[in-house]
Amino acid sequence: MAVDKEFLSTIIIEPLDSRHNRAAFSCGELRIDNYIRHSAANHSKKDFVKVYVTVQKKSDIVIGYYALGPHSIDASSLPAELSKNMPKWTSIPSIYLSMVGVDNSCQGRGLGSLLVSDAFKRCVQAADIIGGHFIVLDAINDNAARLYRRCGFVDLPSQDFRMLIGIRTVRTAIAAAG
Amino acid sequence: MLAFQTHDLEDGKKRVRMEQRISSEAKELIEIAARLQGIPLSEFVVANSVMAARETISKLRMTVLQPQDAEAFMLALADTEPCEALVDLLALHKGVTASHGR
Repeated sequence: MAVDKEFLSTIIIEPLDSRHNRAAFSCGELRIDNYIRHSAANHSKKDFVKVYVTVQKKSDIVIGYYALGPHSIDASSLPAELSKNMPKWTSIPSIYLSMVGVDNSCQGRGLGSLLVSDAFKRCVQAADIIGGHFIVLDAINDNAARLYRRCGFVDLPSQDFRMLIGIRTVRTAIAAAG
Repeated sequence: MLAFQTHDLEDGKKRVRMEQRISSEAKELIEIAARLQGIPLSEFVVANSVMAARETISKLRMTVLQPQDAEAFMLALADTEPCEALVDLLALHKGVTASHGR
């Protein structure tokens, strides 16, 4: 993983608001571009999701973003013999990481990794406040899936590209990272 | 006959139009399916689009586990030690975020 620490130290990650310029955002995945250009502000304003963008200091141009929203896992169809190890609720509160994107101009410098780790930290903070058992996401392609798998995400065989990791594991990792 | 589920949004007045250009092959396929169910083409398209829209939104908000997910799910549920890559990822964050985080 190429990491340009000097570059990363010049960026800010903050909640999306109206002054952020996202019209020219382009990451190579049209769906991720469309979302930040056309839908993210509206969804965030209406509290359906929260979008966090990254800009360089003294700039309003969005060079990366991610979006988080509430999610639940319906585990009611799992075999009964597993239930003694499971939370007793059939619906398990979780957090969905819906989009992560880095503008073409800034790719290959570690910004994607920084955004993902920022998202994970924010998920743990949210879980510390209101509870939350898993981070859930749909990897946008095989490359992304491999990256998440390497971090400990497991694939759900019945759902294309949907993966999850226990928030407790991420919390432990934050403590281990010092 | 195959089941066809109509949808509650149809009770509202139809005030707006939606138009899409599609390939003639796709149109033919949709027409065959609509005819098989004895449904007017536009009703078939609208009902299935509404169903797909609901499913999309629901999938964003909820993961409905299937029996074949049990093993993976139990693995994620176990209180496992984080792997090195995850710790490294979060250490990167620690290293560069002292100066930001408004």
